Amino acid sequence: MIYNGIKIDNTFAEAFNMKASRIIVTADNLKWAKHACDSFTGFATSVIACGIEAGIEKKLKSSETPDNRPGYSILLFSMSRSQLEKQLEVRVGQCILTCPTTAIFSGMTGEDMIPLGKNLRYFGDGYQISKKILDRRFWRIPVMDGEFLCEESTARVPAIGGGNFLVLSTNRKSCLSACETAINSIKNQPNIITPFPGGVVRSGSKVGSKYKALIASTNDAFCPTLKSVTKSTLPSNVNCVLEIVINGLTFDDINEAIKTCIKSISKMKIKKDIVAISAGNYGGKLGQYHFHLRKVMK
Amino acid sequence: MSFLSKPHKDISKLSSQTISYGNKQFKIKELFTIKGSDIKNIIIQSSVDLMDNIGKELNNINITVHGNVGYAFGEQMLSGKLILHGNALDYAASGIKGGSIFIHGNSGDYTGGKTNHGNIGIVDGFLYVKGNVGNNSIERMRRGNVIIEGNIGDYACNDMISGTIIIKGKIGKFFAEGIKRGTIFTKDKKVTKEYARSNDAEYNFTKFYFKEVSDIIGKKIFLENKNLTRYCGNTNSKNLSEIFLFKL
Repeated sequence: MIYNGIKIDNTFAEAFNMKASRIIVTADNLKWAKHACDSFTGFATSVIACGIEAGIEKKLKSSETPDNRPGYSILLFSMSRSQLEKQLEVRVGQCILTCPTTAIFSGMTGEDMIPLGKNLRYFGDGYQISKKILDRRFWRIPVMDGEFLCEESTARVPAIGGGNFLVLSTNRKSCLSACETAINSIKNQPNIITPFPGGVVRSGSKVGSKYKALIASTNDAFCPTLKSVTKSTLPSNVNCVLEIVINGLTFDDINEAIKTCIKSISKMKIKKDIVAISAGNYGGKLGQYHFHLRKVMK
Repeated sequence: MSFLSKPHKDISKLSSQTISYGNKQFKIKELFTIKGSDIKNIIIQSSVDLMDNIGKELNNINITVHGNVGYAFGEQMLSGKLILHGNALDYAASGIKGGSIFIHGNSGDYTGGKTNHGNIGIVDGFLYVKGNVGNNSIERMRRGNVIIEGNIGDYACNDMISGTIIIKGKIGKFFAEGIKRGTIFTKDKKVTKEYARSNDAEYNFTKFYFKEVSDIIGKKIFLENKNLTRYCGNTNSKNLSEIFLFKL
């Protein structure tokens, strides 16, 4: 399949069931809200070693937040319900509570609720104040710049992680530029995040390793320097491969994001350097969701 | 009229229900006009008979009343919504445990306080009164939110345990005696007499709270962001409540 001058490989991305939650962080201004969010979503690229995968979903205007102050929404994902709960609490405590002027609110409703500020209240050492409005409870924790306001709990919902596509290019500069354009095209799309640095992965992995201690290792089939020594899937003119991983709340959210990304790449002048768009999978036997690229782009 | 709080099969059956009023028997439709067809959203029009106990122990039903009502409007309500376009007599919203009550008029004594047969005030829920509220109101409040646009009478907020109250009008005598905790927004400076002025720290809670209650009421509770002065720390060390003083 050729989509607007770009070859779309006949393959699919394999994605997995995860659990997700959304939080809203506000502050006196966007600068300080961003500091808090960057800290919260730092070291949250992959559940392999980070506990969760997290990213800023979108910037929020003052009129869009519960306290009429500017902020951001964050989505976080985990394979494990308990890990999501633990990471949320620890990160709010270490990264949001500590940041000047911030407040934190639940970003979604649901039946399955997990603690957000529920246990942080003890930091108030007895001086904390509880406030309940209809069905929602909030905690006011006295801190040195005034008060930290946090909602008691947020919802945990089923979600999907690991949606992806690979950009195969003749050179690294064009490959990176294409990925940057793709990430930019979905920066305001709701319900998704791209958890890796800048949204792009250079070290795509495969399951297993020659070393027994490792559960994953370099995806040698897609490494351009190993074309001559491994079972490479790369055409001879590919010299760089980068991957974009997208986590989302629903199948349609990820589907839409992949489509938007590839569309945006297809409009670039450097698309002549893009050899193909491909995707990563594990033979289709591990993940519950398959994003067939040619179906996505129809 | 507390039977209105219990589920009925349909509006026409409800309208035809016979009740005792005084020493006579009436069908509901002889006393009120009930509009609409949704049994979970009852609308009572032309209520001229000051019926008591409307919405008593209401649970998961919405009732709108046009006209004045009698005693115990919404008493011990559990959930749902009660809207009154008129005035209420005494014991309105007494002992409520959940849900929301909106009184677009005045309310009598013991509003949002203890019931006349119990010792517990508001346990949870939301109460809005557009007009004035009588004496002995909001007594023994445990949790919840109360917004009063008008004045409140004497002996208000006594023995308050927790919760948040906004009173935009004047406050009567003997206010908040025996209060333990809670947050009060008022313009009446005399109530801060035995409190210490707190520092001028930023309180993230207030902007958020005004926005939330404005969304619930459906209009801005204040026209613009208020400059607030906080008072906390009372000469009575058991009083851990806070007062935010605003200027209208």
